[in-house]
Amino acid sequence: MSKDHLGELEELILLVILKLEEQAYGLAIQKEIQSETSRNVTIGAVHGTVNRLESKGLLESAFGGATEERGGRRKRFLKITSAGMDALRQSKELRLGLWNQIPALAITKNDTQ
Amino acid sequence: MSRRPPIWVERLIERICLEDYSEEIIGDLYEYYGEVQHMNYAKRQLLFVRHVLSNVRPDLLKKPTINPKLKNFMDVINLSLKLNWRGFKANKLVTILSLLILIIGSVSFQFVNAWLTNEKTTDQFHENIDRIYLMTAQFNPGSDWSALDVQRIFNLDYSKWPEVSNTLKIHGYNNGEIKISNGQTEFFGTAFMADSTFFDFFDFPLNSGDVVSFTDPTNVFLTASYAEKLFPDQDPVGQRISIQCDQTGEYFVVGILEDIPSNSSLNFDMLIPRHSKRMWRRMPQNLIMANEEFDQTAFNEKIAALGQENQRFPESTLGTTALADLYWSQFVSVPIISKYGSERYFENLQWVSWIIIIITVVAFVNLQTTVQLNQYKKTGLQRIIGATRSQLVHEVLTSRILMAIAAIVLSSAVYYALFDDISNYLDLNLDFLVWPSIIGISMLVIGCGLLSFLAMIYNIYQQDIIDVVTGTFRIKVPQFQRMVMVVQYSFTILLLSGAMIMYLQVRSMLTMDTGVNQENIVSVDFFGILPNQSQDSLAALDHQRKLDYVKTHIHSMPGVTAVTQGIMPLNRAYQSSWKKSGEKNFELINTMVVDPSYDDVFGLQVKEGRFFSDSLDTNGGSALIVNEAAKELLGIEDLMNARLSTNTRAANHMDWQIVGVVEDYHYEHLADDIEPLLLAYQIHDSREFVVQFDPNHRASVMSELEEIYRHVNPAGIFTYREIEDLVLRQYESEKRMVAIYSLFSLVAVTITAIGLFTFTYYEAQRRTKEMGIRKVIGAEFKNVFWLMNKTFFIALTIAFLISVPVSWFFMNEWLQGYANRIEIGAWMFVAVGVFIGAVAMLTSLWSTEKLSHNNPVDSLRYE
Repeated sequence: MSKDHLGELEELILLVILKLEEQAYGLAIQKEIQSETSRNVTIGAVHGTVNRLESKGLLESAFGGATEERGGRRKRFLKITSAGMDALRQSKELRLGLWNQIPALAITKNDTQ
Repeated sequence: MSRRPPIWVERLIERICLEDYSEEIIGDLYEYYGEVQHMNYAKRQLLFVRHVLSNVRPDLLKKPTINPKLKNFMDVINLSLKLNWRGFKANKLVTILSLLILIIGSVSFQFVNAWLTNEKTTDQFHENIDRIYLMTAQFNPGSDWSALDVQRIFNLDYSKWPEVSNTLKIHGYNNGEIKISNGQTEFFGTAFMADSTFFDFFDFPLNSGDVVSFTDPTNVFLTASYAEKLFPDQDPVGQRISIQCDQTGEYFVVGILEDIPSNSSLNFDMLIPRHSKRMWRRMPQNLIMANEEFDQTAFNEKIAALGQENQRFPESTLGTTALADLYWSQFVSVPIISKYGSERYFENLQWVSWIIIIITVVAFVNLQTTVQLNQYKKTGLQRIIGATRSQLVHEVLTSRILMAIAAIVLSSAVYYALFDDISNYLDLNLDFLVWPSIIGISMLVIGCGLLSFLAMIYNIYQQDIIDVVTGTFRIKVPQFQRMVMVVQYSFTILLLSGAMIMYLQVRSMLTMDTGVNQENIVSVDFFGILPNQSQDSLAALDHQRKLDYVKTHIHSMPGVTAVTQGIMPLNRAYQSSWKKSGEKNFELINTMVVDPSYDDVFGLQVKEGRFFSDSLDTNGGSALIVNEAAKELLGIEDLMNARLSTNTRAANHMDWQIVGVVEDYHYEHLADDIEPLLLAYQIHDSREFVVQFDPNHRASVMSELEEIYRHVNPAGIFTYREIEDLVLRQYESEKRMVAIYSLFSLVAVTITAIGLFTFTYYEAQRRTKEMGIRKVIGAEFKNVFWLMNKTFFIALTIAFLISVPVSWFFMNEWLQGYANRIEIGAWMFVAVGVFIGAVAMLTSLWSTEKLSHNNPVDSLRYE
């Protein structure tokens, strides 16, 4: 798999991180995905993906303050790197490019169904 | 704090997840746990556990820390695997061929080995086998021992003898003598009617049921596969079966025995309580279990004369024979023992197994050495770079281990796949045993590996590094390898010529004119066991009526050319003592009872006098016919005055008149000379009928015989014996030997050919340049071919010269056992030599052909 290629969940998580801006950490991402896509993603899945993205260099992280509801554990806030932005853009362009090549008729037809 | 998740979550995550993440994950889990508090307990817990466990994934797991020593070791293994893989890829052909040799060799070896083990362990699985003895008796001092119902005939009381701790009687009913029905279908089978002490004597393992239930006379035990046959889709236990032989009865199946192992000389499908009927007509065998202090010789002496108290048998002797010995000694033939071993055959196969071992080991080691010598440059370079000898040894060692593992796995698979076919073809009657098979195969493979390892180490230590660098290292074909080739070929020739001579001998025995008709004759036993006529006059009358019926109908059947009452001539003579009247010493002479049409059916030639005839002789009369051998033995010159007397009590006051002489004919195995033979007209009227028929009417004759049989025995099962079957069965063991020798000489030829192929193949590779130069100078194909193959042609010739006399000697010894033997001719060895030479030549041609035809320009450009 090329380094630039983004999996579906990876892309989703990157987008959610962008949306959450400063408040992006594990559970928040999980909840956001659930509310936006009604997909039940587990905490483990989120962290696993985040770890992968981080080792690809598409994400970076910094620890925030500890809170009581977290049992005194710190949050780890995530931020997209410029490589991450590039990857997202690429992925978007790829999709748009493909969409644009589809004859208008085919889309309408499929949409009306 | 009530919203705190259970402590194990924290511990688990900290233990298994990456350190960077565990704090974050635990924090998230805490938060999440707090947020789902509003849900009901079960759902909450379920969701939570799911989230916790979702963290156990490769992305998040800690990487295991590896002991550096172990890592080092794994790296070394990894490296040597890599090296070996490269070695394999570079020498694919030779590796595959080496494996092939190991597979063919070890699989063949294991077949023989399995059989030898099977024979050696015959009946040894019974814990008490060494304490079991069979009671035997001899009616006259000269006659054969037989295993009779000694206890009943001589009225013995075993309880009087302290050395006998237990007794057992078994009636053996063979296939065809008893019919078993499951309620719908009838089956043949073999049955033992045994006392309830059967399981005290023998340890046949049970699949289900309890041996105690055998004491109940309504219960029977079946073997697993027979139960499967009778009740294919049901649980056989508890089913009702009925039997039909000289008795009929109904029983319940209460136990299933494991199938009788192939190393059991006793074989049966079903165990029926002997005590379920008052009597069984078949003669039972008496077995006794001796106690610890039993002394067989003393016991035999003690009981020897006991039988003479019986008025009918004043000359009888009683004895015992150990059941464990019976298999090998064939001291008496009894219906309960279904097979006998042959020591000669056993030794023969032991030899075969040794030859296979030698050929395989030699071929494999030779091949591997050839390969190694051809890699001298590689190993030389390795050493220049700094590899120590011990590192090279390591490399060789791992290659041996890998080769051995691959060979064992593949051979076991091949053995398993071929097991049924080969053991059927060789008629080995073996059970497939997993571990002993793998162990047997491994033994040979590991032996080969070890020897080739030693040879290779030797070569490594022999190699001089300087020679390799300067290019002065020249591998000549070492003396050792030539010798090895000679050995290989010698054994191959030995085996092949053995197979050939055996085949010729068997063929000659099967096709030889024995002086007796051996075709289109069947015998049918219409009456089986007769009622005791003195006690039951009604039964006797009934028998007479049936006999008349058979006689009138059998003679009038269309297609029947001759009928006689009596027995077929093969191996059916009994011995009794005779002398010329007036002389002193008795001679033991084979005797057979016949009726006047015997000569018509079997085509006997009368040389002097006449054959029996109903007008001149009476059944039970004192006329005799002798064969030429008997005439010579007894020294009879004038038939008219020749009177004989015998020592059997019933007839010892009578003078017997010889009325005719028949030409010698073979009535026994052709291994024996034609022994003197007396024919007497003494046919009991319950004897089987022997019918000679016109082969064109075969089908109708058979069906009419069956009809007559049905009329006489409405409940019986019609069976018949054909003389062709008897003849074939007589030579069964010889035929089996031919099959074995042919198969294994094929194996030997194949292994040797593979060895030779690789040898010449590498020779060709090594000498490409040399041959190129020779061709440039003007050598032709035949010169090159000769140069390439000189070594092995010489080896082949030497092998031939060595093995022919050896083979001639052994085969001559073997043939000595046959009175009617073929002459060993030089052409047989020439044929074997030509065959092996041709195979060798083709093999060599295949690998050197390209070289010999190469354009010299190409071969010189090489390197």
